[in-house]
Amino acid sequence: MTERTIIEHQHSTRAVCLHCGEECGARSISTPDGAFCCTGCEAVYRILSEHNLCDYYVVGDESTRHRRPSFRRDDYALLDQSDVKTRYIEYADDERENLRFDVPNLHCVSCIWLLDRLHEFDPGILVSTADMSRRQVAVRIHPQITTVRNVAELLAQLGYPPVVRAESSHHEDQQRQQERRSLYLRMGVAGFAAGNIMLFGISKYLAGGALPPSLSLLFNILSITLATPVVVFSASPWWRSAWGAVSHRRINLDVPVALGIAAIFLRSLVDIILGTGDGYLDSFAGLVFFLLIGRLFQTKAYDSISFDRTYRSFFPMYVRRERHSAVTTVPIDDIVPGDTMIVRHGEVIAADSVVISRGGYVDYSFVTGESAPVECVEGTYVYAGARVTGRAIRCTATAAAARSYLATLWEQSGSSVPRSSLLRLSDRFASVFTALALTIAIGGAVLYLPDVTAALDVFTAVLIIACPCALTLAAPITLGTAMGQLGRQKIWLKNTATVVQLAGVDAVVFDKTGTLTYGDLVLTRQGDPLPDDVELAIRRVAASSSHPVSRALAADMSEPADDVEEGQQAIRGHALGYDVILGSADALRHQGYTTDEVPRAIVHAAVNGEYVGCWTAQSAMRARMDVSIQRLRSDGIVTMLASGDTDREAELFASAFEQSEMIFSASPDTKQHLVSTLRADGHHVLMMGDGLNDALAMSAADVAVAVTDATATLVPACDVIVDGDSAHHIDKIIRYSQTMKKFIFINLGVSVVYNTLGLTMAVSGILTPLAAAILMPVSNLTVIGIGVAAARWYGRRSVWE
Amino acid sequence: MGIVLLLVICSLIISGGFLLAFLWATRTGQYDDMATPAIRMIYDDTTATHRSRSDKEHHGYDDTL
Repeated sequence: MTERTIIEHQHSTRAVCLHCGEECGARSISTPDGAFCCTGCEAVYRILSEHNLCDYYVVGDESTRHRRPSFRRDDYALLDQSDVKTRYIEYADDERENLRFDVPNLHCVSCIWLLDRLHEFDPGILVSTADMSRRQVAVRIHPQITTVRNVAELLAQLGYPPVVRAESSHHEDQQRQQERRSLYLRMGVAGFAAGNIMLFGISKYLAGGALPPSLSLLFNILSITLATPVVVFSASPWWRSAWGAVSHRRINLDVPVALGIAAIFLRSLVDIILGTGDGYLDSFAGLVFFLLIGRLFQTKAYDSISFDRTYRSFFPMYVRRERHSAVTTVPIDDIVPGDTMIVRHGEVIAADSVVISRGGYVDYSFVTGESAPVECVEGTYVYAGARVTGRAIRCTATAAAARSYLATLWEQSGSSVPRSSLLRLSDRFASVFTALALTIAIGGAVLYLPDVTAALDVFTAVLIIACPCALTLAAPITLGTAMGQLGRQKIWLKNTATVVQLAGVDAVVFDKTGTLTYGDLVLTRQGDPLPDDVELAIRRVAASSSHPVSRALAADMSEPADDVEEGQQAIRGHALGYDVILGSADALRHQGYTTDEVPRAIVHAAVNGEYVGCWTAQSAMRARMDVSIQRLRSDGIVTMLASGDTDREAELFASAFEQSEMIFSASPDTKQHLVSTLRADGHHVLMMGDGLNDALAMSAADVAVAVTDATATLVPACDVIVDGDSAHHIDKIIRYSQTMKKFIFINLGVSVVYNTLGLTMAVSGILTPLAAAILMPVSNLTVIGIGVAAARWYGRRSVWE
Repeated sequence: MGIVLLLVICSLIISGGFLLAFLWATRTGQYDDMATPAIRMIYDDTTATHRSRSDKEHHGYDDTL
């Protein structure tokens, strides 16, 4: 501390933090190197400079660097236990261990730079590689020199605390990666074959039959050789899917596709071998290639975002348990009734329990949505899911975590409600389509009987042209592009089918806290602004108290004032030569001050014996949210507000909602009931929420939208994750989805036109290889072009401004 | 005729080579992460010692060590 001095800044000469580049607040730390805004930033800077890694400050932009690392040494103690450790280990032998950590804070150029250089910090770390798209860092360590825990702690120190991994996530990761790789491999093979066969085809078409027979034979042999791996390898997903469906006596859209590509390949083979024609192998390989592109769009997903969570995701994995006055970190499931837990500021209580320490504050914003903190004293019963604010509390568990009120509530909701899906729709369509195609094929063939050759020609030609290739492309490509456009606006969809779900929405239920409003408690100063130094003094006095309102008033200030006396409803302290009293209206009146009568005033202040005004607490509505609700309403969509909070802020929403559309003090059950009732009335319900208290209602809704102000934080299981800044786009999201659904139908129309044209040619027996080679790519490209253009045009940037 | 045969064989060998390169790249995981390598390549290789923010701001780059 000797070289540090606390500087109180004057109005204009504010220093900039050397680490994060943000303006240093009132409490800055000055060192010979420069100023820092907080001890966290200084700590990271020290680590970096000790290891000669100050290049960190040269790469990347400053604006994104700010993270206040906060962790305690025992947070990762559990990583010394082998069963927990293995979740992070991908591969291990005596010489090395390959680890993988999820680090949600990884988000910019400098993050990658730093995380690629972990080996500079610890000689036991051999290599580290950051992965931006998955927000992971892969680390190879020497197990004799360092441990998993050391690496986790290093990451946390640098401001990238690794997230606890679920046991299965590792396996799922690898499976998804494997699937994507095999899709690329299939595309590579199909594209290669298609290009080459097409070159042979073009020379045949251009020569118009004048090709020397030997050359023609060579081309045919090469074409078949190239097409074989396409049948066996590239097209195998369709064989498998179609066979799976048929053996379960169902028909999916892959059945007519498989029929079509089988027909086209076999017919070509027969034609070429018998010398009755040139075959359609060029169309065949191109077709498979296009189909694979469609599949690529269909499997589009965001790797870095997790959409499926249970209540457990909100709970800590590990709990600090006190036994015989020794504190150990144990897995949450090890907590049994009677165990004493120590829960610190910002942490969630994992099991229903009774407070045994002096008391403190908890808020149930996760569980009920009520953001105002509740005071708890010795003997108060607290539910699992409560988050501690301010002072740490000790409590005794009364039930195991799995038997807590919240957990049982969750079990009641059971598995999620069956939703009308795109898949079911397309399956129904597929059965009709397949039946129709087979009827036309057989009917056409019968017309040409007894000429068996001609009949077979027509039969296969119909199956070829009826292959619903363009149809299968239309939806995934339109929806996949739409998903990408939404992603740019920080609206992340779970999968492409979600767009169709969104398009059907005709009722929207909003949660209040954190969804319609900003999540934090915001204090608004009433009356004239205070001089800077008076305000600083007030904030320093506020910072000395652990009361949540004081904390909100102190904002980012953490340097406490001197000789603070904390009374029942007021605190008094000295800072910067001012004598500050903060407290409730009653407390100040009690001391002889006249306080202003302001509704919702939550804290009043007096400085040097003079009353200086008050602050009101209210959650502010997100910007432009009211406009969005108005637009939803004018589109004929039912809008409802279901808040776990009391109705003290009802008038804030009076402009947006009718009185009858607002439900306050709603329990998670009530919210779920509301959603179920709306669904029972035939509505297609979208539930928009942010916390655990909405999770039940969200699982009951047709579409669940989670709002989050930081993608790294936990959100309930959902179909869509929306960044807080984009939450007011909800009306546009629905409209956009509706437009996209319309374009899928337009595309279906287009492909039906092409198919009819082709069918006419097929039935009249004039579907030559050349006609097929032109018709197929043209129809596919038209459909792709329309889909991509529509999704891009209707989702262009200016639409969202 | 002979020249066409030669051309066909050449083109198949060349394009087949590219196909093999693609398959190899995919199987060794080079397409697993398409975002990070693009960012990684912009860094300088040198790891200089202590550089301060203010130097960078004044010159736009740093030449003092």
